[in-house]
Amino acid sequence: MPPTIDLLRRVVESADSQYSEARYHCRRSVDVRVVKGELEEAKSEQYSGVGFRVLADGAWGFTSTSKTSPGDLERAIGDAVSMARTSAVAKRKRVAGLAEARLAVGRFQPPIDGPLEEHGVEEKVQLVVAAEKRVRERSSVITSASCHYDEMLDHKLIVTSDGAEAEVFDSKPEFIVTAVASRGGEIASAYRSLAVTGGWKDLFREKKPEDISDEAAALALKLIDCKRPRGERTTVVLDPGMVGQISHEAVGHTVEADFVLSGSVAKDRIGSRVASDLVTLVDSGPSHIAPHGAGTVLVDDEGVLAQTTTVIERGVLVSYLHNRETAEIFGVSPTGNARAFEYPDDPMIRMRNTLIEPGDLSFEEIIEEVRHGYLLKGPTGGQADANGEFMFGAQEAYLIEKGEVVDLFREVAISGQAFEILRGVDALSRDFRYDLGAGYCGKLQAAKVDAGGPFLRCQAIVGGLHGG
Amino acid sequence: MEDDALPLDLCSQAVERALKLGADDAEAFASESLETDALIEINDVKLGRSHRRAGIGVRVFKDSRMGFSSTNDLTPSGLNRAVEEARSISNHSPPSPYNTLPEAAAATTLQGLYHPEVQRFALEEVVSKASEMLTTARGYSPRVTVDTGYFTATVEQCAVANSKGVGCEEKSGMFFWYILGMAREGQEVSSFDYQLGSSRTVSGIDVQSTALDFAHNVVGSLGAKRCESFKGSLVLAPYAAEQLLSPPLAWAISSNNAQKGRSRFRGRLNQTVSSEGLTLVDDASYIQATAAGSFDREGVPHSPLTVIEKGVLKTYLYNSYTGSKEGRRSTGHASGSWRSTPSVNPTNILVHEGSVSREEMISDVRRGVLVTRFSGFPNPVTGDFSGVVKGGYMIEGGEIVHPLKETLITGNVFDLLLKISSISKERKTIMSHVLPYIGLEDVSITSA
Repeated sequence: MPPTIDLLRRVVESADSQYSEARYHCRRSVDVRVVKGELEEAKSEQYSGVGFRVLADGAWGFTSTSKTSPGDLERAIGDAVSMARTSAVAKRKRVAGLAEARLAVGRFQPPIDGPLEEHGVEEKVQLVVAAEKRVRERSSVITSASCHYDEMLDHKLIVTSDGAEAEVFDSKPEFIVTAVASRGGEIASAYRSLAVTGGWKDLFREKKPEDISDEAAALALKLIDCKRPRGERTTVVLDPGMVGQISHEAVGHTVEADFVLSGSVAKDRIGSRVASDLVTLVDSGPSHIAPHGAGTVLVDDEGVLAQTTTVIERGVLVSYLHNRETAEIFGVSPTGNARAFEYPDDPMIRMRNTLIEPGDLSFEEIIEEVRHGYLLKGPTGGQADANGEFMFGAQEAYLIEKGEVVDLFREVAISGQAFEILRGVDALSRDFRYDLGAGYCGKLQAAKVDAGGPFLRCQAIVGGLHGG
Repeated sequence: MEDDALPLDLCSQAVERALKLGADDAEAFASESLETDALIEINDVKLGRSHRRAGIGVRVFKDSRMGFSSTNDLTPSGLNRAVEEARSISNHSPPSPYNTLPEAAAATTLQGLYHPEVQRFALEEVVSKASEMLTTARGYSPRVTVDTGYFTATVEQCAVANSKGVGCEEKSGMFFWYILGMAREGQEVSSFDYQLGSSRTVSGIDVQSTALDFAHNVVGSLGAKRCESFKGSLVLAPYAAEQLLSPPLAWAISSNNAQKGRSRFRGRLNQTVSSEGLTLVDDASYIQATAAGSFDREGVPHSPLTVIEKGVLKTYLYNSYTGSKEGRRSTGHASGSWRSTPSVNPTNILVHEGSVSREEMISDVRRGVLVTRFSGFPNPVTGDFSGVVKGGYMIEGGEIVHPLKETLITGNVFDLLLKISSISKERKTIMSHVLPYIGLEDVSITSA
């Protein structure tokens, strides 16, 4: 049973502190995974409890408890106060305070079409079993496949001593299919995924599970015959997933205010030109431009109303991503980026839906002008440093010659420095899609994020993923 | 600790409930823990934290089908719901003939895992240890910057019971600490370094040595220079060995990966997989390391297992499922928490000490690199890696000549294992690993 909001309010107000916050979080999750016909995971979970965060004597204390009787909650917040006071003794620089914020009061829920609870675990197990089987049945060249469905249903109560009082519901399902083709010692793998904030119908609105299986199988079969490209610095057209990957991994992390304070490449750059004037990059709590972004957050875990934050406006860096503590340090308003993954996690600065806004060209117009280059689709991971340097893989790389998309290559990587790449952007399409919602972003704790954009044209180094 | 139902009682209740619901077999794993920590961020104490956690995971088997559900709502209704959900999933999951549970077996209870002083360790002392680590590192040199760190005291009681008579419970306690950062001098920023420490007793806490090792490494790597690309010797310090060699090795010795054809050690039993100098033992009875325990996630007793003996692969690691695929018993390597079904993983990995000292290893190198830390992700399936040497030192004519920067090493971990030329007498415990310095020959070292 969840505690009542009145009980949380009473406990929060009983704390002898400058600021206190209670967050009840109950997560119900389902996770089903099948690899090559074998069930790897079929589980359901309930994980619930309350996290208390307290600011006392200029220092933070945090405690969590899975027991929610009044006595347990009072003990936990009392512990949080002593954690804070004890830390304060050793702390050199006190927390200056928390910036004023638009605090959430009321009930919040993103649009959900087809509640996930209305679909039993059985249906989800059958879905995954069938989707995985369908991939392998496609061809004898497909030697392995996997399918993964997982969902998180959240119920939160967030109460702060300075007035937030929010009841928040959330629903985030995802569906991922991978196909592995092998022939004569060559192996090629391909994935397709769907991830949304929303319900069952939202997840499968544009594509059915069968489409995802068929597309993954078809792509793996295509890739097995492809060559790897030679390395060169050239024109590239990135698909929305690749644009999302760069926006999130290579740019987004460098503008998280806690990283800025520890010296990221974006430090002291507010007001500077960091990208071509075609580029407007935002991080959006509510799902900006398109609905159902998998990183949608309506209220953050400090009880702040999450907004759409413009980070780069027509090429100029205009904002970092903040919680209430860093907003106070920088003298700005909080942006609603404080997020905690589960109840025992303390809120950290995290992204939500990160995107580059679309332009006004058609996809064809963007390709047409390319004499020689590559169209890169489908990010496959990689790494980015605090200095903005990155290397990401793309699952499909199409050679473009004289304005025409010709051959497909595989195991391609793109590398460069994020801001240099953004300064070289010379075309953006008018289509837009979120396409980075499957999986999680890790920064000490996990977070569900999404990212996307239009098709974007720029200059970058393209090469083989494994040397060469 | 919590004062109501003990983990083992909860497990027994869950198993009984599952059998009543028509399960053929059932298993429950539960734990409760109390963790107190102090976090450091950018040269200051950031946050004091404490968590009380408890939870249970229930596996239910019906007609060779398996279902799993977990919860931290340990009220009778919460427990019932978890059992019912696991039972319901077991009606619909694909069957597997390998879904089995282990029988009860006599386990030797490990001594020294838990000392009551860990539970009594006060928050003030946790903060004071974190603070001592920070001031020691900063006191070494004003050039040292501590980016993050923590000191943690944790006590955990875990239990497992199943319908075949397994019922065991164990309490353990541990202190952990960690420090990460770099040194700055003018515009120059050194390589990052981190150090970890752990102890099961208060007298074993030594945050000072950890802080000094860290500070020594970051300051020592200032003034780093590039080198020309060459092929030469590599001396991997224990941390570098843990980062470069351990993940692919742990992957390759898993029976699950071997059975699925994604281990380079597949079909290599009783064959040479490394130089003769390497003997690798999985040993959960080594209580100084963090993965010590009397039994595994399925309640199978742990016993020391020699995985690689003088270069020859002797066995893979099994849980009940992967063991049953080959008609054999589990080796006691079911791993995981109450939040997931058992997977297969090593416990403590110990590499036997060699016959030379670290100094002798370095003095034997004509041209090579001492690597204190490696940054990169070796591909566990193929063993291919390409990564950056962090805190590396150029060795020429048996002497360390200068710290290195922008130096890459590339190659294949499984090929490197065959090029091990020396192993040091000195070993370091890094969480669940006990590793020596490892000397390798004929490695490609590239200037970036």
